[in-house]
Amino acid sequence: MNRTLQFAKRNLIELSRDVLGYIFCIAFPILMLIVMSVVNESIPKEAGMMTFRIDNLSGGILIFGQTFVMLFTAILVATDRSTSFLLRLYASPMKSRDFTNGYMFPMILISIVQAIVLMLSSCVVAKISGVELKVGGLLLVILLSIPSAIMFLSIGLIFGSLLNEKSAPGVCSVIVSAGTFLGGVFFDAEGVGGPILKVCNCLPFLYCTRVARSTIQMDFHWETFGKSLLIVSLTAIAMAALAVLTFRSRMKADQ
Amino acid sequence: MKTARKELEKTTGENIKTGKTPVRYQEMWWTIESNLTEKNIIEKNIIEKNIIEKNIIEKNIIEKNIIEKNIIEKNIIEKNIIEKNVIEKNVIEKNVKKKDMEKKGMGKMKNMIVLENLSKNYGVKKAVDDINLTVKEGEMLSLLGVNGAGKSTTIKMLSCLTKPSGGTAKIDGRDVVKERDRVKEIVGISTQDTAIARNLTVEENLSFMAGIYLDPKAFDKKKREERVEEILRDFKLEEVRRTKSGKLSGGWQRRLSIAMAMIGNPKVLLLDEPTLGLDVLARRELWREIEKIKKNRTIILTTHYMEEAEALSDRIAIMIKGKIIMTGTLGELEEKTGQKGLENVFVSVVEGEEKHE
Repeated sequence: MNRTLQFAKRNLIELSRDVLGYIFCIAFPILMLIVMSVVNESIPKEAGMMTFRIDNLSGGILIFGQTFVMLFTAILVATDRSTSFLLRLYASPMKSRDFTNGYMFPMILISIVQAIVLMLSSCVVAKISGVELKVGGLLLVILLSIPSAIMFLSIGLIFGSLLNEKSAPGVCSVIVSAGTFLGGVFFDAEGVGGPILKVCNCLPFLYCTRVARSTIQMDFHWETFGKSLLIVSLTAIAMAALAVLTFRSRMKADQ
Repeated sequence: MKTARKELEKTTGENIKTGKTPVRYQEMWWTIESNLTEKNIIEKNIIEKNIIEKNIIEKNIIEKNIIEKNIIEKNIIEKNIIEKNVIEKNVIEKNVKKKDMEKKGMGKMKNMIVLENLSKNYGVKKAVDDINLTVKEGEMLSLLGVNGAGKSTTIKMLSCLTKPSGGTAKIDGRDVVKERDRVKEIVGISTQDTAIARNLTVEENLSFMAGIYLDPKAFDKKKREERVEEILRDFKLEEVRRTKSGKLSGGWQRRLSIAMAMIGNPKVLLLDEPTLGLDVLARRELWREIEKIKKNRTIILTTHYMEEAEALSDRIAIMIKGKIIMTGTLGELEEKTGQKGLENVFVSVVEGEEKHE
């Protein structure tokens, strides 16, 4: 456990010194929160467009932010693999679980900090736009967004293990786009329906958004919240297991 | 004369035939001729003066070049003498050490590293081909070989980074395959590339490695910090302790890399081309650091630099195409090959092997 924590600390320091991390994981989601809130103000009320209302938008933006945590996980792992630094650590008494947990722990911490900052920003935007947000929902979503965070950073770990430092960011940006679009972050997937909704329902991203939105609105119905949380949690466990297996196999191959 | 006549014609406006200067112009003729002679003498003097000056300058330049050349030659000779002295000093020290070891009965020291029929295949390619090698406790062995000789693969097998395809490798009696975790506890490695966390400071890199290698039960936070301070001091890294390691020069990075390998106070240290790509001064500086950590530690060093192997190691093993062709002290190798100096020994062994094929 001590070695896991040492490695997690190193990764946290490494990430905290990357300015791009702050820009993409914190500043960009906040910017999108503000921009989309302005867009929402411009849409006539008669249109009945609810996606960009702050109690809907903040949940979507939270998932949008988590996709960037995935991107940075992939970059960190792929960069470490490309240098001899990881090779030195493979020769140390560290076990493979120390590596995978050491990558995941700081990322979960970053996701929690990101959720806190985004929820505080949502409070400010809600105050300005005159929409009331439930404090309990905002606090609870920080905790209940952890499964989706684990899912995304596990995907990042998989891509970081399989791809090199040049291709990992490219492939991850495809997932960022797909996660945002098929997760219904910036459009009403249920409203669109048809084949798009079917595709969205086959992937975990929409369920992540549903959990975040339902929690913020304190809507704990089975169909919107319970079922989605179960799917997201199971996907997170599966992805985490797959990430551990992928990293282990790449660890052997890299040697 | 012709010029004086033309001058006279110009002054008088009359056509004056050669050798028939009218009497009325005789005085004028003499004056012109005298002036021209003086002018010619002055011009001649100026030309002569210029030639002399030019010669002096050229002479000075030549002399300056000769002096500079002499200084350079003198410096080269002095440098060679110093290098020779350093190597001779090391050889003498090694012999003294060897004699001391023999006197104390330490010549019979236990075998720290034992390789028996060790092989590593990558597909059909034999990277390491059935090698046998023994390194005693406290001994420093240099693995010499051209690129692709199998030096780094041997190091990788010893550091449990890759599994052997055949044979056994034991470090302090621990098998590198069956007892990987126990081997990793006593082996430190510095890889070919500087394996450092580039965004972490020098101190953070060392603290991180201390957390990885030092058992928390035996080393609490305070003791770990003390160990980091000790290493910072030993490797003279104090002045760059708060510098991000990615911003250090190549020499400093190598030094940090070896310091990181030393944090766990390993019984065995594997140095894979530690001075690769360093300038001569940085290399010498690193040699001094390696000399310091040599005491009572078993070290295997791979290198391309003959003078490095000559200056640092107790024994030398020459690897060619995955096989260890020759092992021994420099004196033994010279005796076996009939050559003087490690470079000649190495070339002779490599060429001999090529002819043999």
